[in-house]
Amino acid sequence: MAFNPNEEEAVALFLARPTVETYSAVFRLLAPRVQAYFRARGYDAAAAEDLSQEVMLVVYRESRRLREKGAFQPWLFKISRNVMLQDYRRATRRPQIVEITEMESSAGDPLAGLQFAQWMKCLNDDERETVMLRYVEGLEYHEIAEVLGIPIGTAQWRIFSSKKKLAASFGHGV
Amino acid sequence: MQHGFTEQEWMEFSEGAMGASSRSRLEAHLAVCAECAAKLDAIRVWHQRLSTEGERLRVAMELPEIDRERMLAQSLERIAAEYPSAERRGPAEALAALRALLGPVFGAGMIRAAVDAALERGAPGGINAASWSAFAAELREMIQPACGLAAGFLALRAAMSLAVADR
Repeated sequence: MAFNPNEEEAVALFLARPTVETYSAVFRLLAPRVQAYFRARGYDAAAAEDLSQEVMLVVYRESRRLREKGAFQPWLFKISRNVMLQDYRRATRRPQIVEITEMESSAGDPLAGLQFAQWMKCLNDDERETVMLRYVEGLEYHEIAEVLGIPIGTAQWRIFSSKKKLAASFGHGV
Repeated sequence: MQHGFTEQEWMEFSEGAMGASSRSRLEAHLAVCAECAAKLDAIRVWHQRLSTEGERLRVAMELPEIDRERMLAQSLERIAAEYPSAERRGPAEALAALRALLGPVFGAGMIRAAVDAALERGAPGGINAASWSAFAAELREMIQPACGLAAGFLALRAAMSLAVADR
């Protein structure tokens, strides 16, 4: 999902001058997406919030190193991924993809996530992460490649092979 | 799904990344091979399904505004604690920043009125580093009756996240 003009402008202003105001604008637009990133990977609301706060603090701290606004979105999800991997290593909580099925829905759609979780079970870890970045976070292939540190062709291949696996496992019909 | 084409070519075709001449060759094959056409159709169906369910999941996980603002206030507090002198402002600057922070949530008119009333009650002698806390507490008192406990708390935290200098 490419940045809309509001997001682009907020990011450009923040990168040019990271102040409380510009950071707040970026936070309002992007922290919900970071929180959703963790929720979609099985974290409960409280844990997702803690990890999102860590991510946004890194964004504030490290933003001076980033100059190009076009690189911001993959950078944001790369930080999110690193924070999640660090959390895994701490081993205090290791969510599993099946927990998506227990996810509370703030939008009154308790079935959202059930279908997706069911599908993700037939994919391996690499395929699952690539599919989620593509279809849940809405990233383009070059952004996925940047987040995961893989060639663009590998990202495309993982998506293609995932769709083939899904078609083989769940068929063509509903 | 081979029939003279590599898996790489099928992948490029389904992702729209194939050159024109190869694409025409593959399209010609699809026109006469029902097996390949059905398999490619299944790939497209799964693209559509993943897009639809991914979007549904995204919408279901949208964060309520009040939670987002609470998280922002906490984040600003952490930043203020980590960089205590980085954003120290004069009184006028601090008030402008506070209005800019809270305006999008409560409305500019509401914030202007609440800030004016809080200044009158909490910092009648003017804003400085010492009177800022009293002003913030009054701001909370002004906002709470109209917008609720959580909103009052948010206003207090947002105010306290701004470091004020005596100038």
